[in-house]
Amino acid sequence: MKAPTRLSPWVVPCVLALATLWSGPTPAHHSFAHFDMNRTIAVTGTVSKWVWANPHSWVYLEVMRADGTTQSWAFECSSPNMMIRWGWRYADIKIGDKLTIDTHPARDGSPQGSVFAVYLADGRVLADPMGRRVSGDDLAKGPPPVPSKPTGEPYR
Amino acid sequence: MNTRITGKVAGLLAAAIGWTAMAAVSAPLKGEVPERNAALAQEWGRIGRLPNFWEGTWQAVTGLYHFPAPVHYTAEAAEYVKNYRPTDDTVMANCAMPGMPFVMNQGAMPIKFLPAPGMVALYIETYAVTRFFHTDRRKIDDIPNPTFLGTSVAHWEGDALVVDSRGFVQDTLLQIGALPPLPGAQFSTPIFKAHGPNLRFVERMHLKDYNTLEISTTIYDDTIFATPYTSTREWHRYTGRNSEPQEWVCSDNRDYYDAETGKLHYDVQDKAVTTSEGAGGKLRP
Repeated sequence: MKAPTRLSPWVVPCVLALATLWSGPTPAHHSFAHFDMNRTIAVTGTVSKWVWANPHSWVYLEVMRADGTTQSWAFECSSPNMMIRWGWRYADIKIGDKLTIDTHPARDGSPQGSVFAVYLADGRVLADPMGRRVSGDDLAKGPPPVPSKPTGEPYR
Repeated sequence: MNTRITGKVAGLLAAAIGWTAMAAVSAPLKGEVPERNAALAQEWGRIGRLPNFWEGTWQAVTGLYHFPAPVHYTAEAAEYVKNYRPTDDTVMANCAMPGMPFVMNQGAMPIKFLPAPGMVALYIETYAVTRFFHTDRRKIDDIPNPTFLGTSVAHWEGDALVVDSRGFVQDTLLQIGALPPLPGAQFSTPIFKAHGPNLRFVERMHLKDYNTLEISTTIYDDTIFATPYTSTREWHRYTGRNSEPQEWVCSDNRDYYDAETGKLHYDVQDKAVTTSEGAGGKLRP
């Protein structure tokens, strides 16, 4: 897979610790060096687990690959407190839902990613400040305009 | 019964209900001291005339590791800074509460001032901790019981709330400087160091304008700073439901920082503890 070229302009790559990413303050819970924030892929699958917890939420998908095999993916989100202010609700996602996640994948090739946006079956899009360079003002005001459909290269 | 009589009965009934309600409000409660209530009402009135720190919540807008020069170190601290090598990952993982002063700097979630007679409380959503600034003119003990947030007394100097805090556990996270950004990085790297026994903070909080809170913090630690160090940070006010304070309980360590290796491991299932994944919750038997 090659790097996507259709990232919306509000995606700012990051390569160092979350703490060093944000122009303003940050939860700074840990580094995001694990994820390639310059790449975005779109992973579609069925929700197998949905963890709404601090310091980070997680979505787990069972993904059917093009070769017919199934792969388990784990996607790291922000703190629920931040996600709520960006329009998320716990009830938005349920086990068994089919959804697509724009994600910055792990550098080591493991099936993990940091969440950029989640595309729900009902058409709603949930943006996540996870690992982005945003300020306290951005966190309070909510997300910038979100894409209406996945921007990452489809993961097969 | 004609309508005129019905109306009179209804009026009398309403009056009776109203009188009963008024009596209930004005009658002293058991144990209530009216004079004390009057004093409290007067104190609340005084609070109402203070600068309005109280409305809405405040989002930090100053960079996390903001630590402007000049810094005047002790000889020992200067040597420490000279030889400092940052760890690969954050020392804030594994739900470890950073304590003062870093808990004030961390941001992402807002802070909320709550006034009361004799006290100002400051809720910090990140880590869901509350600092209590005693404004009743008490003194801090010479050797306060050590805590993560310290013991704080405060007073008003004009429109500024001046908060004096001492008595910290050794585990508080103290940034004493910042290194230039690493290659490829946009921002500085923090320098952390264990604090000395006499660590003290004096914070001067005031409204730069109605929507901007400015806090100048002076750090006193004679093992680190040859002269006290002062820096200033800003917060912006937000109101509305989206900015109301929330619970923040750190309950999940599936991103696990191994202090032995200085490495962070992601999605470590045997460290995953949370109550929000249905039957999988592990916080309780």
